[in-house]
Amino acid sequence: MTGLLIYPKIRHFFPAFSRLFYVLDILNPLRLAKRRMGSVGQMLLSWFSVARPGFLDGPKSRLLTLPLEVLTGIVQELSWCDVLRIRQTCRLLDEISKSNPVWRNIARLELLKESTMGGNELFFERPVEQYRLGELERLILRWQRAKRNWSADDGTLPQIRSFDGTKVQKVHLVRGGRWLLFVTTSSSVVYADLDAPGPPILQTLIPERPFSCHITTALDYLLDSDVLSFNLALAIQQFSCTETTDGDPPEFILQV
Amino acid sequence: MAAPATQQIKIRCNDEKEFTVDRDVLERSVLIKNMLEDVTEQQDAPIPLPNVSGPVMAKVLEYCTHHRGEPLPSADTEQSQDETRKRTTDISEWDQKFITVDQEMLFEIILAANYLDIKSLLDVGCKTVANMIKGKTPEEIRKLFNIVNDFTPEEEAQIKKENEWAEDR
Repeated sequence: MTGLLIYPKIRHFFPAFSRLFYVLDILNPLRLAKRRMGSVGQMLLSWFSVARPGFLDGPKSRLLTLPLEVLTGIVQELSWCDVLRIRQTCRLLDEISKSNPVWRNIARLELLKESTMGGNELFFERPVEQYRLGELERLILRWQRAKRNWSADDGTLPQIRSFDGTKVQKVHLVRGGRWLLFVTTSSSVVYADLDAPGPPILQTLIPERPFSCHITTALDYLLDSDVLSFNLALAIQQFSCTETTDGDPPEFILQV
Repeated sequence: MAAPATQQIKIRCNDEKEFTVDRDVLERSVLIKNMLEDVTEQQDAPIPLPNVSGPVMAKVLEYCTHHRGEPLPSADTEQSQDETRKRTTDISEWDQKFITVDQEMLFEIILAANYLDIKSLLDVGCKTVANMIKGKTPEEIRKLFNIVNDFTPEEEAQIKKENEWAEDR
């Protein structure tokens, strides 16, 4: 008999209970989402949790729950080798390891290191802030790779580029290794961008001269400039002349 | 000079724990410093800090007290901070000892420093985590921080292949 008496009371409280459950569900958005999604959603969710194990369950990594800017700050403290390692751990860290602040920092550190150690130098044509996403990473890793290959004794072949039909008097590889300047036998000055994909294309910088001559060149870098800039000095010596008309070099300033 | 420095400020953490601290110590936190500047008249009510718990705040205050009086990085050097921060890669001996805590506390301190905007403490925290990562293999890093590998096997193979050249010395 008492059961009958209590029953209406429970019913009476039931709306309040269901509200309580609802509140609990709000606290647990995932469960709420599951309940509202129906079977298709459930299927998707279970697929998702299989594709990304640990998405639904398991202790979350405290590291990965840090705000993005803090995580970036941590990755910024790493050297390039450690960045390459941490990107292999999970998607989020892979994403962060590609971000610009991370590589800017590495670039600055490498520059500092190089300038204190002397010897081989990593060189940027522009201030590091001016590089777009991915560019710094490509440059730095290429540089590191080249350094390794250079000292490797497994006979790894360097990349070979051929420049067909160019008769060359002089070659200058401009600092940083991207631009290759040629002085041809017909006295023109051409250049190739070695970073460009595909076979190198020669661009004319100074057109041919009507007479054949011997050219002596020198490059002078403007070190206080933010971007790569240099003077190219050409001393022209005509073959046909009896007296050497040396000197008086026309001077060009190139900004590449 | 000494008179205004002794002003005491009360703060209350999210677990109701309260601290009464010298103003200059608290002002290591740019967040609190700005709050205090906005309030002109003397207030007795404690400043609520809903994102920090008592034990973490005690740690943070220990740091702030030790470093009181040191110049704060000014806000307008925001851009160059990136740069200058990296130039001082070492953690001082005191900071090193201070930050030798368990992982949970370390992350709590980092979060608090981020929230309270205490740049130097955030740096110490980030560097400490970075030092834990240095030289470890991806698998060791995952284990250390409980990171779940969410790459597909194909992706993992690909990313491993891309990066393995850096490993052979």
